[in-house]
Amino acid sequence: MSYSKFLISELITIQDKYRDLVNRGYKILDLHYFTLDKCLWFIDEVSSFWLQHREILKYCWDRISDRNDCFVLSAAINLKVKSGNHYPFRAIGDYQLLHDPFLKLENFLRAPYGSVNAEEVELQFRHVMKDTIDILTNYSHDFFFIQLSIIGSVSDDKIDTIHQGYENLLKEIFGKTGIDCLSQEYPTYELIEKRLGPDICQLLLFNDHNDVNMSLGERVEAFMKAQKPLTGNVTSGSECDRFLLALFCMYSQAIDTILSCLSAGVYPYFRSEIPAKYFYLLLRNYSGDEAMTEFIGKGVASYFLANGIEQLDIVNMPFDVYRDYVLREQPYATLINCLVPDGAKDIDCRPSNISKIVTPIIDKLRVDFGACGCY
Amino acid sequence: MTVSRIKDHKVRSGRVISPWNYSMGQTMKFSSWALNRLPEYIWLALILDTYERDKGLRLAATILQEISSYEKSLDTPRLSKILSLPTSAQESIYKSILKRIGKDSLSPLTAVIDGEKNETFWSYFYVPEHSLDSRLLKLQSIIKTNYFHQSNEATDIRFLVVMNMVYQEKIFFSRECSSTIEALQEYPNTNHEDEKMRSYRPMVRSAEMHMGESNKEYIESFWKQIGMSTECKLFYINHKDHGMKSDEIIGDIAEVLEYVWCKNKEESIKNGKLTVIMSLITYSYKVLHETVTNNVGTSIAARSSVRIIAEVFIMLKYLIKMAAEKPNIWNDYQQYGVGKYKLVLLKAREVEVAIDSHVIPDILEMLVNEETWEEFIDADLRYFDQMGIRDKSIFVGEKELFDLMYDYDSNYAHGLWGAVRESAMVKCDNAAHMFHAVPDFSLKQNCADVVPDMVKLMKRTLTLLSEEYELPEWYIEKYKS
Repeated sequence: MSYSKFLISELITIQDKYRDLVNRGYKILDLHYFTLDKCLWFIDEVSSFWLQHREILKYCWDRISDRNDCFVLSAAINLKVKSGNHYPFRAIGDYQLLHDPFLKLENFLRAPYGSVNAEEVELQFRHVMKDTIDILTNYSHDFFFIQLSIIGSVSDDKIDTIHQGYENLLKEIFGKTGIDCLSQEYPTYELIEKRLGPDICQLLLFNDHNDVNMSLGERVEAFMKAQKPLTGNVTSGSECDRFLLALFCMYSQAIDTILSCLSAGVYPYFRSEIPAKYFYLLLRNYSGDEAMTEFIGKGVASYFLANGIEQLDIVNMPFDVYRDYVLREQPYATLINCLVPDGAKDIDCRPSNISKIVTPIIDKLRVDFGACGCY
Repeated sequence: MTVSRIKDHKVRSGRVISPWNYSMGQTMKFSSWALNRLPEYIWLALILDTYERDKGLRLAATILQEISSYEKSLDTPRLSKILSLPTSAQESIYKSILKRIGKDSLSPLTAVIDGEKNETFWSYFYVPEHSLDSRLLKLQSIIKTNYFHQSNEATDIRFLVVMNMVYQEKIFFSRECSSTIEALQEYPNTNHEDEKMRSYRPMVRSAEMHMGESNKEYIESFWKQIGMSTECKLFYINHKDHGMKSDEIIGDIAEVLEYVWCKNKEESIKNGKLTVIMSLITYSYKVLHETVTNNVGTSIAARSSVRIIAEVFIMLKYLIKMAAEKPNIWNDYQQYGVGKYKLVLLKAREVEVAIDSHVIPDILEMLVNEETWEEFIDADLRYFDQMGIRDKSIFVGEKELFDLMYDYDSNYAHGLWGAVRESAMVKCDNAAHMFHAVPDFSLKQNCADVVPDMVKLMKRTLTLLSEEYELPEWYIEKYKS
């Protein structure tokens, strides 16, 4: 058995135990109608599971991520296999990681009593549970669940970095910081929009690319509405408060992803455009640093490649056939090789450049999949 | 804390027995407060932590008193006992607790108590807002505070345990025990800084020590849950190398050795004395040189180097002393060593020695047969001159050197636990891990620098040499201090 196979076999053993835990949890939660208390009990069980296996997991992943490109699903709670999202992700990098989706729900669920929408919790939990069981049953050797902080935790000083960075962002946008002060000076969406100007407004997307056709106020309100089901009361506060809250949500999510991935030695995989855009916007100034350029480049490249694959509409293709194809043809490796041509020192990670390189790779996939009758 | 001296110990059948063990024999039974009892009473520790000493003691005592009024099976307020009671009995107890304290206080316990097996406890004390991490952190800090069995905090818990026996009417004091009665009455109202507490605390602790048996299953599960869920907090002693400028002394020793050899070369042809003395000292010199030039004074291997130099020094002193009555001892010493090599050679011929082994039979054969054909060489399985190194050290007046350096570094040479613990393990400061020590994979822990001791021993070795052969004056002048 090779060294890497040995490491993976260790991870598979742990993943099997995780599957048993989730299946057992499902039975108990289902019996208790996914009540909030039971969901939290299950989250405790899951947290405890990761803590108890932390050392061997860290041992394996430290070594695997040193030698391979490992990607972790970012800015999403779960993979959503039913929607076919496992296809594009499987093609990205050498190993694909999923941060435990139950732990991602923990903060919502531990919100003060009364601020959690119990019905929505049940719905969301059932949905995540089903998706997780599906992956653990059918794709357990393709995707690895992990509590990301085990292989690289974000320390308190990095959390300070997040807050400091947010202050800097406000300063860049408004020329000053201090929420109270901003609320007084820019009480309405119109005033904020006027202050930001069209260039910055164009960058501040909160929902999807249709945001560009909406006013700032409409974007923020649509975003707040989308967040409402789990967290409940976010209707209070002035328009400026709500704008700042939405901005902080997007900003902290992107920074959290960046810091978590950097400390764990993995790359973020974005399924949607908005977080990928924030990711690039926040890091573009670091592109002078070789390691950071590689980090940004691979993060952005993975988004474009996955997005291209998603457009191919291959969900009806048998997954094992698809997996064999990507393992054989290595579209991700091809993309990275094109990004770093022979003799080049580092990656040209501008989205326009990456998008250009991805096109022929996707075209080849289209032809190959068409030839094997996958459409 | 006073500890016994060597002379207080008894030596029996090759064992050095401590005064305590000698007087108590096999009758002593150890019961660890921290490992076996603290997990049982940790719920009381959580109450004391939440409400601080005065209020906490009052609240906890009231709770125990009320529980004792209807639940007579709890002679000690062990958590494992409470958890094993029927649901209705547990509910009564939990209600009595929650009548006086908030559920937040005991919620950390849900991090280590199985929610499936102990649904009743969970339904009373689980607080959804508390994350697992925060609960584990609280338990870690509580364990750390109460870990030492004589700490004020631990004694407070032990006081409550004793009082529970009183409430349960399982313990009575006769009027003659007035000091114990006074201690128990005054304890909760007396500040730990008060002089009187110096007598109250030991009384409380000794009263608590004999109460009840631990539930092994619960204790194991508790430590497993808390231990496996928390990370090691490793710390180590970083020994700096001594920074001793040893290059100069090493160079001087080399000069001296060469000088003595040249000056007395003729003698080396006549008899083996000079050869043996000079070669033994050179052996020590090379060991010192290797240690210094490879900068390994703080390594494990360097401990064996000190042992070599100490042993060579003792042996040399022995040879010189014995030479008066055994003039042939220099030759005997060489023959003894060659015989030892012959044994290895014979064994090497019986097995297949790997080509890359550091034991090279061809070289052994060459050395064994260098002066005499091996068929005429015997091997002595006993100590050289039938005296062990310890006895030799006594014979030459170097017992202190043997006891201190030779014996200490022998622990390293033999891989005995003291040496392994000191050099290949690091301490974990996590109370939840019972302050264990773990293997030092990351090579953080080094050892104290041996170079100063080695240099001192080398200087003593040269002094020994000076008693037999004249050393250059410049050296004597330079190092006379």
